[in-house]
Amino acid sequence: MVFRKKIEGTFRLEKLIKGCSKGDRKAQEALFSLYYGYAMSISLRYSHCHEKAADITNDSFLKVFINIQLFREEAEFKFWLRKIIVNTALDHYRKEKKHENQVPLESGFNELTDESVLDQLQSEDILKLVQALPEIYRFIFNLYEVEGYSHEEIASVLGTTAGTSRANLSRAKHLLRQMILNLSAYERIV
Amino acid sequence: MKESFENKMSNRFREALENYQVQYDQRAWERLSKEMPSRQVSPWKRWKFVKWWLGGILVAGLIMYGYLSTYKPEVINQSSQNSVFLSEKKADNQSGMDAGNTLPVSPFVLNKKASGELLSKEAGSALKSPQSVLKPSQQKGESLLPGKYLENAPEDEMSPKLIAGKIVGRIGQGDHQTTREQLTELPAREISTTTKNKHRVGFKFPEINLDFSKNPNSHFVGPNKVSIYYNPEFQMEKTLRNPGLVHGLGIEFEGPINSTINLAVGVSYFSKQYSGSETFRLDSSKVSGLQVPFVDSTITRTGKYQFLEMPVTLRLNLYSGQRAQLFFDGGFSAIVFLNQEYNTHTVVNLDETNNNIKQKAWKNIHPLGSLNLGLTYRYSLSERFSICGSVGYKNHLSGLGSLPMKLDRFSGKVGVVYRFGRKNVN
Repeated sequence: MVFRKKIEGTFRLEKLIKGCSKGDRKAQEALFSLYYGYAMSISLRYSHCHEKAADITNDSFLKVFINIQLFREEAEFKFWLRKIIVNTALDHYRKEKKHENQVPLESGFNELTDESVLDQLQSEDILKLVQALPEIYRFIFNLYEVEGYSHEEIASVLGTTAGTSRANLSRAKHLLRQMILNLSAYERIV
Repeated sequence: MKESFENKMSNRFREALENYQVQYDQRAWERLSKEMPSRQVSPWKRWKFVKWWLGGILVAGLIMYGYLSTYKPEVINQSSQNSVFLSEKKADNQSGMDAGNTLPVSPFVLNKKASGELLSKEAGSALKSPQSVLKPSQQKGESLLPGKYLENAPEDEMSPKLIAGKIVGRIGQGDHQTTREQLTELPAREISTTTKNKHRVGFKFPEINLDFSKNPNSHFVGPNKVSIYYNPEFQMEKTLRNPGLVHGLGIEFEGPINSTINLAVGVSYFSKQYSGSETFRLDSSKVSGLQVPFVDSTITRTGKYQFLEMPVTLRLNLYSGQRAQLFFDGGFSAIVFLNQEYNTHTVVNLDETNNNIKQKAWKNIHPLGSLNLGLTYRYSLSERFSICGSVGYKNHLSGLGSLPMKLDRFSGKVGVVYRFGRKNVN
């Protein structure tokens, strides 16, 4: 039954992709509605707010519709879409890089070692914590921890060095720990 | 302790971010659709659609021309003891209705009614156009009375013979009487000269080598040419993205439908091995906000495929000289795939995917594989041997093979033609 659904889903996707490559608006809408949630969840990781994530998602789907002829059937669409979203997020980051201020490393982190705090965090809370990170940290954290990029790759796509990437990842993690600590302290007070 | 907490935090964050889903929002599509460029149909795409109609009309025209030009007036060579003439005539003294219009209907039935005998087909066809026989009396304004028509017909060039016939049966009475007449003398010469050029209705299937008189080269009987050729093709393959030259070998049989149109049927074998790598970039010029084109993926494709092509071609003679002939070719090809093997190696950043498709022979059969247009030149070296060369374009209506591939092809042919069969001594 599950296999059959999977096959039907594949055929449906194939049909939608064919329609999109012909410029069929209905097919484009159907594909958009099918993958909007997935695309938006990735975009949100790389953005500090919903509007910014919506921009990334829109730009990504524009790229998908324009370049869908390049999509090869042998590759998985979801995987291809993910690459486009990450690349689009990186575009946005590069565009706004010149306006970004250097994030100073805060001293005197409190050490958080209580692992039970992590289990109490909801997915929305985690997303908010990641979104609260400074942009450079957010990108490095996502690219390294979620997408599986190496520091060398991160350095090449963000135009920094591998060492800077490592340092920034470490700072991102420190910041996250502090934020979790603050969050748990706040919850205790409430 | 710190290490393990960091690892746990990373895992927890990764898991939560991967599983996080957002609900679909209809407003998001409305927003995106406003940003999307309006769709424009390029003139090339319109032409692509129209050209198949033009091609179809051309091929249909050629076939119709072939059929119509094979028409020959029927030569009736009838023996003198030929059968029966039927006329069912409604007496009408005022108008003198056209007798000819009533005659072609079902002579077999009428005859059966009259005497229980069946008419031969030859008799029917010999007499199925009796307008010329009946009209003279009409023109003179004579009334046509049932059963008396033949006896009362005036003595023109046909009527004396007909008068010699005898009435062998009658059906009905009064105004609706049918007469059955057996003709004793009905020379073929006279009927054929009378019906000739007047009876032009009819459909005739094409026949091989009907007409030798106009074409001095058609001195041989039957489907009479065989050619063996080398068939290089330039395939503009769109799926494998590996356009290039493919070598083919083939054999073709050809025979004339009439003096200007030949029909050719053949079989060719093609084989291709390919290998190529392609890097996909997201085009920065097409997307606002994208500064630098990104390498999205790299695909390396290798493989091979073989297929048999069976072209059916109508060959219209455009020019016929002492030795040289030029033909316009139009037709279609059936295509049968033999072994197919397609391999792809896809690299997206550090992720690699391998795909392999293998297909056994005779799995992909396309009865209408391609529509073909071309020109063929033929030069006679001797009475029986010629050399030929042709160029053509083959367009495919749908994808071929297992992937499926889009094979639009420019085709060339170089070969030797042998004319066989016995000579027509006339």
